[in-house]
Amino acid sequence: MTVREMVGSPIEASETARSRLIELMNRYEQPLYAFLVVLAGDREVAGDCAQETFLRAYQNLMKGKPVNVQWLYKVARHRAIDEFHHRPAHVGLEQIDEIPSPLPSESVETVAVRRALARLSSEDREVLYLARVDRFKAPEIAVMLGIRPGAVRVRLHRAHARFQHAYGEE
Amino acid sequence: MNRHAKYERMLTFPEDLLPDEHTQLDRHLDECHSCRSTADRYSRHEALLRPLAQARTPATLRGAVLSTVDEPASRFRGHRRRLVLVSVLTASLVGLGLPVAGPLASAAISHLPFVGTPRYKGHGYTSKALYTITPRPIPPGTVGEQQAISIALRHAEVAPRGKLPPNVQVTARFGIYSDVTYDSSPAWIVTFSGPGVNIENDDGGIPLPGAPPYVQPPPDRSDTVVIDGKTGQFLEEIVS
Repeated sequence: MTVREMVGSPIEASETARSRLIELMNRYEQPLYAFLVVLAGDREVAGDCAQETFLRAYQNLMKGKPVNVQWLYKVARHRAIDEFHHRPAHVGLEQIDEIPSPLPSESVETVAVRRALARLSSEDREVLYLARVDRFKAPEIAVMLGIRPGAVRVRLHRAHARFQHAYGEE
Repeated sequence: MNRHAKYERMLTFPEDLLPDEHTQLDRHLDECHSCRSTADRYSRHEALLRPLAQARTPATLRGAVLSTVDEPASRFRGHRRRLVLVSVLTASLVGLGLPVAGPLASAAISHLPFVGTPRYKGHGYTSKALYTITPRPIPPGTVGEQQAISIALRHAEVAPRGKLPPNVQVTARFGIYSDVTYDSSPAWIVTFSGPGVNIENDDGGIPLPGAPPYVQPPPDRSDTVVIDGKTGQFLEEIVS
């Protein structure tokens, strides 16, 4: 088989998609999971959502479609929203009753921050996290959330005010 | 919008500002205690939130993804193993003088399961490109219209937290949906329209010196959510 013939073979395509998936996971697996933990308030749900997001990314790569960081975050957040709506004892993302159990490395202050975030709506949590932790720019967040950059700025400003209130009560 | 609100919004993403905007903001901060304390609060919050990035990824996550990705290869290997097993058993039985038992054994073995093809759950695309919807009759097993609308409400920007403002009309159409990035797929297209739809647009920031007066773009008046007709999952939102 010539090199030209090998390029188009399914195995070659699959291997390319697989290696690109691994590249994506090397770069975004940890930050995406950390975002989902804050959004969903549950490490297990966050893991499931991250897993399905990367599987969907692989499916796209197999079809030769591009996958970028905005795509990953957008898919992941919708997966998290759907996950909660499909639960039998339906608890919305807006009503996280419990925060993930603290990791040994987490400070008391970080646990208090998690608790304050849990009192906010998912919209506030996600915009705070994307802007202040992952440091995405307004147009990038706008793509992830499906809103205008101006609306991102408004939402972030209001989320800061509500976070201040929630954290102040700690 | 008051003067402070404009500067407070600029403070949300100061790195996005143009040099002239930065200068104006700095000048304002020099004389405005309220906005200065807002800037301090944003910095303080960022310092509080940053440690959340340290969440440790489960060790099983990558293995679970890659093993699912590799499943089609496993299925192929399983198929080959099964063919070898059929051949060996049939030959053995024929060799033992049991010509009737051979086909029976083959038939029994044919019910050994394949490893299932992985199924992927689909969610939104970033594209807000033009799309087409070709009307089709609703086949059996499709998500119902009311269910599609309630799913769309969870994702629609016009309905924060699933609550629809007054004076909004809801229409649902079923058909084959496709756009430049999404495969053709049977889907519900749920559209929210009417005077109650008022999705805020970019305020444009502070006008630069000498720039023509900024004209606020009209708010978006239509919000369309695309729901997968088979699975009921969110596919796309188009605000216009």
